[in-house]
Amino acid sequence: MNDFVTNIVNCLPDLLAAAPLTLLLTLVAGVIGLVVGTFLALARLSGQPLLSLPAAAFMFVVRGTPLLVQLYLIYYGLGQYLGHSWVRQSFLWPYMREGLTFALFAYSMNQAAYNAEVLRGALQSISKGQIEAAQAIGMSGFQTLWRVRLPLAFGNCLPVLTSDIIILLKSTALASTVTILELMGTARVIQRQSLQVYEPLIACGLVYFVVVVLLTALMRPLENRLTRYRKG
Amino acid sequence: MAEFLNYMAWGPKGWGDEFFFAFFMTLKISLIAYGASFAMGLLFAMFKLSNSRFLRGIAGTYTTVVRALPEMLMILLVYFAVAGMAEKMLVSAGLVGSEFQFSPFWTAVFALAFVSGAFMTEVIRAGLLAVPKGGIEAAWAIGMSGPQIFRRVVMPQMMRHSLSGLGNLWLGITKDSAIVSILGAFGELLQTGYRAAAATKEYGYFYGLTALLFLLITILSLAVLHWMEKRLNRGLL
Amino acid sequence: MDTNQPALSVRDIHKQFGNTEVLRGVSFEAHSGDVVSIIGSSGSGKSTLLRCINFLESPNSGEIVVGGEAIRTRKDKTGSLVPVDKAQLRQMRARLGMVFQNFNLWDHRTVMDNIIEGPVHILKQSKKQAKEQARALLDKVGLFDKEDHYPSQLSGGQQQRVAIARALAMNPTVMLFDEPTSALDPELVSEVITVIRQLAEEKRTMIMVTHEMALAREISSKLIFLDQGLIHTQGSPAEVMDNPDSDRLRQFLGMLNAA
Repeated sequence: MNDFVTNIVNCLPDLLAAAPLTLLLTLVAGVIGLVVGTFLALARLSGQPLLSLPAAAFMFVVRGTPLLVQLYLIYYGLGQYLGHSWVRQSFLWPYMREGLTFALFAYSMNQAAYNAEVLRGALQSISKGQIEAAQAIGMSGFQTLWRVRLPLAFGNCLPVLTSDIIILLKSTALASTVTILELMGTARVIQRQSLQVYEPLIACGLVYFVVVVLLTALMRPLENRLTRYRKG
Repeated sequence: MAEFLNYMAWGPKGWGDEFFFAFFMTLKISLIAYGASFAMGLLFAMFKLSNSRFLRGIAGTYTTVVRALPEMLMILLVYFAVAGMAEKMLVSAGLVGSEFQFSPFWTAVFALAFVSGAFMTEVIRAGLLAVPKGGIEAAWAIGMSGPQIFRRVVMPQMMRHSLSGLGNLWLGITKDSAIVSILGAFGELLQTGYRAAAATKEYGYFYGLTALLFLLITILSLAVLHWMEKRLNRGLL
Repeated sequence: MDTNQPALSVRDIHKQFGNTEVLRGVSFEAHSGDVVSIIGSSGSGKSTLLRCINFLESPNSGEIVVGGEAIRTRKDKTGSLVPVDKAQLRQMRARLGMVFQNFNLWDHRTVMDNIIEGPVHILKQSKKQAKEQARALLDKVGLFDKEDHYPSQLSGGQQQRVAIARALAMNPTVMLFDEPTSALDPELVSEVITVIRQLAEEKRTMIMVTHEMALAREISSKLIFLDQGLIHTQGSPAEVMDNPDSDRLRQFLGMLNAA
């Protein structure tokens, strides 16, 4: 039993060193996903078939297929095609060959699709009156969007967006399957090197648990501040 | 183009039959895991609503821990650690021979169910809480037994209230079943895609095909769920 | 500007929803300082008429002229009038202060932010100047101490008074009131009416759709009875209300008295 605990503790330094990469994946994909997701939601609601149909199709396909398959498709599939194309000659190739770039791309697109669905609902749920009030004082379409519709939509769906960030954080574990040594990947390397089966996984679980609890605790005050207008 | 058609040939030369059976294997894994996770969800939801602090503690720990950890980590943990420990316990208790091992397939399915069960617990708990007390009291009043009340009064109303949550969990479990591919060769979709892609080096094609088949499962599921919802709203289910 | 020029001319407005003709050619004018009240049973098209004035609804034909300047329009494929020049429409809307039945304050902004939004971002006033003006307006509507509150923290009557201050902050040529008291609890109606009465005394040009007959009689220079998409009767409140010239009007007024 003592050995067991010691083994777990011994895993922690390497895992803690890998935690920043997990957070980096979460942060970058979270931000890109939110920006792209906003544009997707707007395209989806634009009423222009040329914009709304591709947006709807993208959202449906991404949300209807496993993230792990998307990761493989982008990491192996895109890598296969780009590797044969002009991209290979470009100065970007050394960066792109890295699994991290592909993973970030996959996670960003996945997060964008889920965020877009949430934002679509939030944008639709805004009362028409508040939009009309903006039009009635002479706001342009863009002003109405930027100053009224988007702030209200984000306020409405903030709890879902923050819980989607936690889901994203957890799903970054899958990146270990495309050679990325974030938390999960590092745990599996330790598994192989130490020939211990349980301890690295349990240690890894402890680190995830702490990160998830901390991140949730960090987002709560942010959520409260951004939606303080709703407290009566 | 013809090349891609050849890839899909039936038999040893192509991958058509592999993908055909993989499609049903993914469905099979998902269905069994879903059934098991429903049973677990029901059990732990009743724990959560019970008067026993001990049972509530167990259920609370289960849902909190599982929902805070990555699905992949949980599945690996259950597959390796929990199954391994259970085997050791059974062996040391003398119940089974020292060579005993759980079947990897069933362990993998159980791992998937174990993760989904935590989310299932929350959905069912909310559904049970939404069942009006008056209906249960009326059932006692006409002399129904406990199990009768559960089957005839509580379950139908709980299902009605939870349908969208249950549907989402089904869609989730079909997608999460892809994670099982990292545990071993069970012949489900992603693992089949992996083998085909590695053998032919046509990664884009075969992972694209894999994604398409998963999408097909989603589309079929949505159609069935939509049909069920309509029947439920008419009070037919 | 010619002083005889009407502040607002509404000319031959037609509006159809699907196959239903809601407005069948409505025209009226309001000169500076006029208070025009539009009455009529629900479904008579009075709210639609008001919303056509600032193009929240697009009329199918007709013309809106504010202070001598017509909103330039053309017909689109569906047969609705659409503005030719969106920038001009925005300028015209800025000159028409609208007060809605449901207040429509922006939930995510404080009272102060709601009021200075237009002056700062549409009229391009400085924030400081806009805030000074906003405080004066809040004082006028009796809410001087509420500038940091959010709409959800205010009663309906208070929200409507903020909404009136928000419309006034644009210093509009004409104020449009769309049933400003009908979403309010009865005990909150009077505080809003007090503010509206005060605006009438200051000779604000106002167009008001309302069910408050006592208020309409007291402050209106002209009363319009709208029925089935047409102006049925118009005149001074006394003319319209004391000597109803038709069964429909008698029926409508009788219904209000009974209620």
